[in-house]
Formats: sequence, structure tokens, C-alpha cells
Amino acid sequence: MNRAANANRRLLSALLGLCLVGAVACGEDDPEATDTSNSTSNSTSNSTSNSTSNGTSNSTSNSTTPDGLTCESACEMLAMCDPIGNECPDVVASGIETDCATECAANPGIILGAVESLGECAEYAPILADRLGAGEMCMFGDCMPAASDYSPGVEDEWPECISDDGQYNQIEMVISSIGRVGAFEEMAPLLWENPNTPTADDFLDARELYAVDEGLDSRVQRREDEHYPKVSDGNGGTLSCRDAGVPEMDPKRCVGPALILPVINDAFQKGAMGEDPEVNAARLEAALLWFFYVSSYKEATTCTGTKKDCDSAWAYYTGGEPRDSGYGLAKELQRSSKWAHERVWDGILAVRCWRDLDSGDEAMDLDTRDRALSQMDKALLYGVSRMIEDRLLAMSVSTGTEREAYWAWLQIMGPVLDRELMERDSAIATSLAAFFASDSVTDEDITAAVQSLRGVFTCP
Amino acid sequence: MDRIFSAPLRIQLLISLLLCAMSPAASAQDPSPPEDPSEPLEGEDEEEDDKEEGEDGEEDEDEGDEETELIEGEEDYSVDVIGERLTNPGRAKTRVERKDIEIRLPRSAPDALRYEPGVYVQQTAQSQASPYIRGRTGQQTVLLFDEVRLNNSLFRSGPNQYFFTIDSRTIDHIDVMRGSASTRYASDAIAGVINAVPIEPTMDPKEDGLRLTSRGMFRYATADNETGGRVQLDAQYGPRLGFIGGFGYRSIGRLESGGIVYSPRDGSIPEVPRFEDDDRTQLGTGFDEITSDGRFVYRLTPKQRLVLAAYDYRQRDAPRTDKCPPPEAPFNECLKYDEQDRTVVYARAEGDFGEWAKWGRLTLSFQRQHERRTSERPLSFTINGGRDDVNTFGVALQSETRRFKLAPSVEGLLRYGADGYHDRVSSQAWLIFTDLDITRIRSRGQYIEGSTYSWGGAFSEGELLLWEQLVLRAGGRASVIRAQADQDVESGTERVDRTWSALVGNAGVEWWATDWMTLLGNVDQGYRAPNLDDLTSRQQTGPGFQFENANLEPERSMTLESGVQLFSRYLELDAWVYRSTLDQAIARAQRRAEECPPNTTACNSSRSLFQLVNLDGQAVIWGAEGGAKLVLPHGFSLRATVSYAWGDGPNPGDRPDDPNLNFEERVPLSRIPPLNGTVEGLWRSAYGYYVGFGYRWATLQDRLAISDESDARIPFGGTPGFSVFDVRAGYRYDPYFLVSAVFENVTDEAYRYHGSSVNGPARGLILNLEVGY
Repeated sequence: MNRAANANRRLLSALLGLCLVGAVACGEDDPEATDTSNSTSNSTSNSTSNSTSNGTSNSTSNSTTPDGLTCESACEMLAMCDPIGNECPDVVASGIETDCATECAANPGIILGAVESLGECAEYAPILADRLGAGEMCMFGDCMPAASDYSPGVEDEWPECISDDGQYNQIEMVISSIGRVGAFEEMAPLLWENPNTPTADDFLDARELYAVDEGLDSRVQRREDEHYPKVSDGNGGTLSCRDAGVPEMDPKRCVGPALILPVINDAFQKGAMGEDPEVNAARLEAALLWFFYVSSYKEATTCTGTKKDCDSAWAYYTGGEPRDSGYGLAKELQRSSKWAHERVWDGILAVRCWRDLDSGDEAMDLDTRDRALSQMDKALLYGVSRMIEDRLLAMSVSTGTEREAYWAWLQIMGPVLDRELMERDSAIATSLAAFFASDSVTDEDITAAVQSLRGVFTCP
Repeated sequence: MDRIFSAPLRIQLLISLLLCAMSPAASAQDPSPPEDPSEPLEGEDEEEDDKEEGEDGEEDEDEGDEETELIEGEEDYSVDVIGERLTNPGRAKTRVERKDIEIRLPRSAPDALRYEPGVYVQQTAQSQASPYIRGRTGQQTVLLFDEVRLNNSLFRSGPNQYFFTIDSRTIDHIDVMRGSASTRYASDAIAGVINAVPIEPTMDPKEDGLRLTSRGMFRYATADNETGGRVQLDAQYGPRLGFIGGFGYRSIGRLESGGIVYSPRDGSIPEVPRFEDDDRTQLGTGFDEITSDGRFVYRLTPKQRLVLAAYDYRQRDAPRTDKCPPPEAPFNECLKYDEQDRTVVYARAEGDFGEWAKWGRLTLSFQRQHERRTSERPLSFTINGGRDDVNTFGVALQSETRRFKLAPSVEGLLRYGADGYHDRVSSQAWLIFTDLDITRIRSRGQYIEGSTYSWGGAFSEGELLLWEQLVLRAGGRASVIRAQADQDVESGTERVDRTWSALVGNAGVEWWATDWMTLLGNVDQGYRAPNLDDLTSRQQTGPGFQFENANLEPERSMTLESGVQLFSRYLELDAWVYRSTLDQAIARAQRRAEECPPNTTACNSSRSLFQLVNLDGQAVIWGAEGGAKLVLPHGFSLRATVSYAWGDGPNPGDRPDDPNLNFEERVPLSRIPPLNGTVEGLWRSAYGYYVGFGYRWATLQDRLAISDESDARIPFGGTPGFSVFDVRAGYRYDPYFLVSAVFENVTDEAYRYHGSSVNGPARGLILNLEVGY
């Protein structure tokens, strides 16, 4: 998928989705909202055609939602938050207001992030809700961190700890996971951010980056998903996914070798043979983002016994970058939801805070660990759901190879939420599983899927 | 890659070897067995001679008498002892004899050194072993084969496997000298020197025709299912020309150990090695080996000879245990040395060339070291490969004058020499996508293609004997070293063009205090110029990824040692204390990812990053070691050794900005062996039977360097101590028959030598059979 070329289209689709689908999310008691929902597909297609027919070559700055919201106007509204400064720290800290127009043009997620951040500015929410569409504000207006969550620099239930400065304080000097995320970033311009169709050599170059010693491949092969229990040997003991035959016994636990690796191998192989380059590039991006998500949670979990794994949890999410930046999963997630990114950061800092308070070789305070892990994972899952929404909406306004690439990406990332969906709402989980397993989907299907996701993942 | 010998082929080879060795046609003569079995056997005569010489082969009083005779010009300078002339008088040293090897049945040349004081043998793989001398190994020790340097510019900073590439079946004896010795042995002689001396053809001055004798050796071990052997031809044509040569092979399976060696700190199971389901048989072990050699000796005169020799060693399919699979990796990921070869060829003239070269030796040598590695990940259809070759051309002149009488009760002699070696390196790396059958060549290998490394030097040592009881020695060496490597822009490799010069010296005193006691003291300097591995290599090492430092400076050492040697009819004792200092020591310093060379993703992705640096300060190793041999009546003997080393050095890391963070100014040096020792007992009958035992022990080593902490070869918290007991027995009927056996690790101990990836063999049997005419 050519992200640079598609940025404008995604901005447009995100804004459309924000207004149209968002209205649905809080509209169950609002007949009008339901009606709006029904017109979603029409509006979407209209918007697309309008944009095209009007010949708006710079659709970024001139893109509008059907209700007339522009990126600039969204920024203006964000600027309204500025006077309250400390009460709206995320908006101020993100620097959105300083160069808002440029940011908006480059990244549709900025709008979403800004709006979500305004969720903290409760008094401004109604104003913006009117202008931006009720949906987003309905979603975030009441969405505040849980009382048990860790929030750096804010009065919370957590004792003072090393994370209170809002920065991630490394345990070890060297964090190898940063290099792996760096390799992902080097692969991006060759494949999924390539302005041209990736060539066979691009795939080989990318695979070379992927396959280096101690690189991405080495970790994909051994990755286990700590959301699932260890593989049982049937005699009360456990098995390791690195041993022969074990991944096949429990693919969900042995997610790396059993589920992610086959996708990557297949995509590299087909891409190098010139088969569906955009699609296979998208599959690689999705598979590696999945790996980063699983890895971040895994490392935070195993930090219980190996302190330096906390560093890896942070690195697999951020690529070693500070809060207002980010590579890999953090970069992608920010594009879709700045608010989710902020909450993931807080979650990671919660993990680091726990390990600071519980600093022995083997952690003992497992209750605090579980609180931190839960906070982090909840935010990550929300962020992933927003990434999926973002792609769904982008897919809905795309055609041809581009649409296929989006769908390939979604068919890999969509099922990542399956476990959590099943816990929260098994009916929706089943429905979405069927959706992502489909060979082709309609815009109505997409809208329904977005609604489902928003219905479940309501708050990071 | 498949093993190079299938099982049926191995059996066929064994049978062929057996037939070859037993073939009557192999011998042109028909030596009759001794008519009276009670007569002392030939080997026993030699043994008695050995006893007179002393266990470690040092010159004793008899030899002193011989020197006196030399002065009087009455010597018969037999060419058969020419190889013995190169000694290191007055130094801490021991010798492993052929007969020791036949009794101990080591698995390799380094394995033969396990019973030597001050030596500790680390194994990163079953096919590799690296002897530590006084706590140092690799580049900081000099390895020689018949005085030809094995050290080359690709020797790694940590343990290396290169002494393993000597076929122990071709070795007559191994000399181990401990302590710095760069005056004699030039660069790298920081901690000691090991010289493996090959077997010589049997030379009978009265032979006037063709004499052919052959010998077959066969070996089997249960712990690793080792099967192998050697056929050897010993020939002489006329009184002047002799030849000895042979072919050998071994096929070795996975090594069964006594079990898991647990972490001494928390009882956890180390990631290295990985085991089969039985928790005893170690993955990443097993290999094949083929050797061949030939040695011509031609007597120019009774006091001079020419030697032309070639030794070839080829190892195949040898996994590196700590990377096969790597820690935490899937079971089928493996780094394997597909090929590891060494070829040494040399021509030599040696003997008596006059009073200024009463003993002299000129050697021209060529050595080729070849490695081909593949790191395979079948699950992702990739193979990372690499090949490194180094060709070394060498010339070495060593000589010793006759002993001159300088004044009444004052005699002197001079040893001198010059040597030079030139390395040329070829290195390549590639990546294969097996599912696509595509190979991509990388811009550089582990080293830089076309790199060269040259060094030359000259030395001189004088010796004075005063009042026939005090020996004073002093000497010095001047050397020049040059390293060159091209720039590689793509990988951000700097061009290297460095030249160093070095002056080192030594001095020693030896006081023959009584007939039974000698006191010794030495001060000797060592130096090591950075080699191409230090200056240009990028590689995954045990502790992590290591990248080059083109700005390194030579490290220098100084050893102060003092020893006492006791000789009596029943007791021989040799004990030393030492203190070695190392200035500008080259050590691994931890690095951050942002310090990685450009375009080196493998560096950024590695868990631990290191770069070699010169330590700012002095590293110190001190210790004590010694051995004693008790010779008892009725063929009983008892030998024991004990060694201890303690080392620390400046912390190679950067002091953290935060003063509250813990930072130790001095930290332990890497992989210093723990307190360890051995005991051996032997009873030999006059009829060729023997029974004995071997006992090795070591204590816990939990003083770990920073790089040790991240080294998967070392269990969390250190390496536990161990004690291993072997029983030995055999029967010798020279020269026709030898059967020897070792019942190893009787208690089935799970043990590991500190720093090793491989646990020691499980309880098992090693059988060795030799037949010949």
C-alpha cells in the first residue's frame, strides 16, 4: 500500500468515518443518528465522488466532511482548548496547535487524536461535538482513565515512582528491540510506504533487513502470546513453542511460529516473485504490527522475572522514541488515535512504575503488575481497534489494488482483536470473525464492522 | 547438510583401516616379538629415560653434564634430539607426553591439556576447545605446531577453536609454557605458549634398505558414539630418508552429558546447551573429521637434517553449541561450521651449523585456515553464510650458540633469531533464501576482503651460568607489525592502515640451591598488537554482537613469577606464584545501539553490544599453580595439580551520569577459571598392564565480568563446581598392540567447565585399540 499517496484519501475517509460512524456510536437512543447511519454509505460515496469531481487536487487542506468541517476548522477548535492549558495537557503537550494545519494534512489521525484529547476538556466537548459530529464526543466525553490507572504527574492511586516524570527510564543501556523496530521502519519505504509498486528486489531487500541475526525474524519465530496459558504437555507440565511440534498444538499461544511467521514467509515469497506486490506489502506490515502488539504485551508480562523485558515492552511499542514521537506500532497507532497512544504510553509507564516499586529480581507484587498490564493492554487493544477502523474506512473509499491491499491488511490485523472481542461480546466477535474471513466485503459490511468495533472498544 | 560419512561407509572405512593396518605387506620387515615377556619392553625403557629427564622435560643435572661435555667438544649431537633442543629453561612449564595421551584418551588436542597446572580448557562446542593459560586464551596465548605459529590475524578475542584443528593422534608431545613470553614468541604471548610437537619417523642410522612399518588406531566412545581411527605408515629408505604419515577420520555423534547444569543462584536451567527429550543428550554437538599428514626427514649429516612436512585437518558439519539452537530460538535454528580446515606445510633445516649456531633452525611455512559457516533458520527459509580464509606465509630463524667459557666458573651462550609472518585474508558473507533459491552477497564478510597483516621481529637472549649453580638470563625483542584493510563504504567500515613497533624484554634467575631444589624467578614482558579481528571484524560472539575498533593500540603485559622445583627419587614438585599486569588491555566495552556502525541491522538488533577498547588502567591477574608427582615402588605413581587465578581490571563501561547509580571502578576479568585441580594415579606392571584413575575438580566461579553476565554459556550467577572421576586401564605389547580404555565420569556428574557451552560427557566408555608392525 502506498501510504504517501493515500494519505489524503485516508484523511478524507477518516473524517467521513468520524462524522458518520461516530454518530451511530452514541445514537442508539437517537433516531436521527440511526438515520445518519443508514446514509453512511451514500455519504461516503458522495464524498468521494465530490472530491474527485470537484478536481480537488489538494484534497488535504480543502477536504471537508459533509457537514462542512475542515481540517483547519478542527484545528481552530483545538486551539480553543489552548487557553485552559494545564487542564488539557495532552493537547498542549502534543504541540498540535502550533502547526496544526500541516499536521492535519499529513495525518488524519491528528484530528481523531485531538478530538479524543478534548475528551478531557469536558466543558468544551459539547461545542466540539456540535461541530465535529456527536459520535466522537459521545465516545470520549465520558471516557476518563480508571481510578486505578497510572497517570504520570497526576494524582492517582499509585505511589511515587520512577515514571512520574512522564519519561520512560531504561533499565538496561542497550535495548535490542529498538533495532528490530528500526528494521521495520527501514522496510516501510521499500514496501508499504513505497510511492511506487514494490519490486521483487524491494521485497528481497526488505527480507534481508528482516532476516538479520537477532533481528525481527529471530523474534517472530519464538514469540508466544502471553494472553494465553502456556502449552500443556498433558501431564501437568508445560511445553515451549520453540520445540518441535508444539506450535501446531497451540497456535494461539505459539502465535509467532504458528500464525505470524507463515504470513510473513508467504508474503515475502510471493512479493519476491512479483505476485500482488501491494497486497503482500500490506500483509507484511500487518503481520509485523501484530508481532509488535503481541511482543509489547509479552515483554511487559515476562518483566516479572526479567526486569529488562520492561525495556523491550516499551521499545516494541515506541521503537525507543519519546512520547511525542514513535516508530512502528506507536507511529501507526498515533495516526489513528492520538488519545490511544497517550493511554498506551501511560500503560507502559505503569508497567515501569510497577517494576520500580517491585524491583527485586523476581517481581512479587503481582496485583500491581496485573493492574499495570491491564491498563496497558486495554489501551493497546483500543488503539489497534482504531487502526482497524481507520483502514476499514480508508478501504471503503478505495478501489482496485488499493482496496485489495487494505483488505489484506485487515484480514491479518482484524483477527488480532478476536480474543478480546470474545471476552467482551461473543456475538460481535463471531460476527467480526466471519467478516474478516470473508473473501470480499461491501461498504455496508464495513460500516457494520466499524460500528461493532466502536461498540466494544469504547474507551482506551 | 548431511554428515559426510554415512553409517555404512563408516563401517567400511573402519574395516579398511583395520585391514590396512594388519596387512603383512605393509611391513617389509618381520620383527619378532620379545622371546621373554618378562624383558622390559621398549616403551618401558623409554619411560625410565623419561623419568630421568623429569616429568616436564626440563634439562636436569644430567643435561647440565651434557652441556659441560659440549664445551669440551666431545658431544655426539644426535639429530634425533634436534627437536628437543628448543626449550624454555627456567620457566613455568609442563609437557604432555604421548604416553599420557594414550592413557588419558583425550577427545582432542586441547582436551589433552586438562591435567596441566595453570591450564583450563573451555569448550564453546564439542568440536571446539580453547585452552586458558593463567586465565587468558585466544589471542592472548600463542599456539604452535612444531614451532610454526597457528596464531594468525583472524584469531578472536575470546576463546577460539583453533588448537582443536590439530589431530591429537599425530602429536608426540605438547609443551605448555605459562606466563608472558613475547621475547621469544612475539605478539600474543601474553599469558603463555602451547607447542604441539608431532611424531617423528623412526630413524635407524644402520638401515640400508627400505623399511616399512604400519600402525592402525581405532577408537570408540559411548558418550558421543565416536567412531574413528587412523592408519599410519612409518618408513625409512636408507640411513638418511625417513617418512611418517597417515590418514585419520572420526565421526562423532551428539554428546550425552550427565544432565543439566543448573544456575547456582536460582536453580534455573541455562539456555545453553539445549537437550533432547532425555535432558542429557546435547543438541548442537557432533561432527566429522578427516585428517592427513606426511613428514619427510632427510639427514644431511649426522648433525643436520631437512624436514618437509604437511598436516591437513578438515572438520565438517560442526555446530556451535551455544548457537545451535541459539538461546530461546526454535529447535531447528543452528549455526554450523560446515567446513573448518587447517593446512600447515613447512620446510625446515635444522641441526649443528657451527659454534655460532650450535643448534639452529630455519623454517619456511605456509598455513591456510579456512572456515565456512552457515546459520540456518529453516522456519523462515533463510541461511546466513560466511566464509573466511587466511593464508599465512612465515619464516623463522632460531639459533643457539655453543656454550662459551667466559671466565673461570662463568659460562655463557646466546640464543637469537628472527621471524616474520604475512597474512592475506579473504572473507565473504551471503544470505540465501532457500524458498526462492536466491543468494544475496553482502558488501563485506566478517572481515574485509583482501586485508593483510604482516609482522617481523628479531630477538636475542643471553644466558650465564655462574659457579655451576646460578643461571642468569636476559633478552629482548624488537618487532614491527602492520595491518591493512580497505574501506567498505556500504557497511561504514573504516580503512585500516596501522603500523606498530614494540620492544620487549625478559630476565630470569635460576638457582640450583641444592641437589634436590631449584629456585626460580622471572620477569617477562608480553605484548599483543591488535589483529584484523580486533580492527575489522563484526560478529555475533557469545556475550553479544561485537563490532570493530580501528583505533586500538597494542596491549602489553608483564609477568613476575617465582617458582620452586624439588627433585628426589620419589617426589617431583613444581610450584609457582605469579602476578601479571596488563596495560592498555583490549577488552569488550558495552555499547549503545546508536553507536553501532551504519547499515548494520544485526548490531542494532542484538541484545548486547560490544566494542573492543583499550582499558584505561591496568588489569591484573595473579595466581598460583603447581604440580607434584609421587613415584612409588612397584610401578605406582601419583600426580596432582592445583591452579588458582584471580583477575580484575578497570571497568570498560562509561561511568553513568547519575552519581546514585552503582558503578564499580574495577570489575572481574572475563572467564577467569575457578580454583581447580586434578589427581591422577597409575599402576603399571612390568608386563604392560596398567590401571589408574583421573580426577578433576573445580569450585564455583561466580566472579563474572560484565560480558560474562550476558554470556549464555555461563549459567545465571556463575558456573557451579564439579568433581569428575575417571578409571583407566590398558595393556601395551610394544610395538604390536595397545588397548586402552577410560571409564569416564564414573559418578555421571553433570558438569561444565567455566565459560563452556558444552556439558562434560556422561558416564561412559572410551576404547582405543592400536595394532601395528
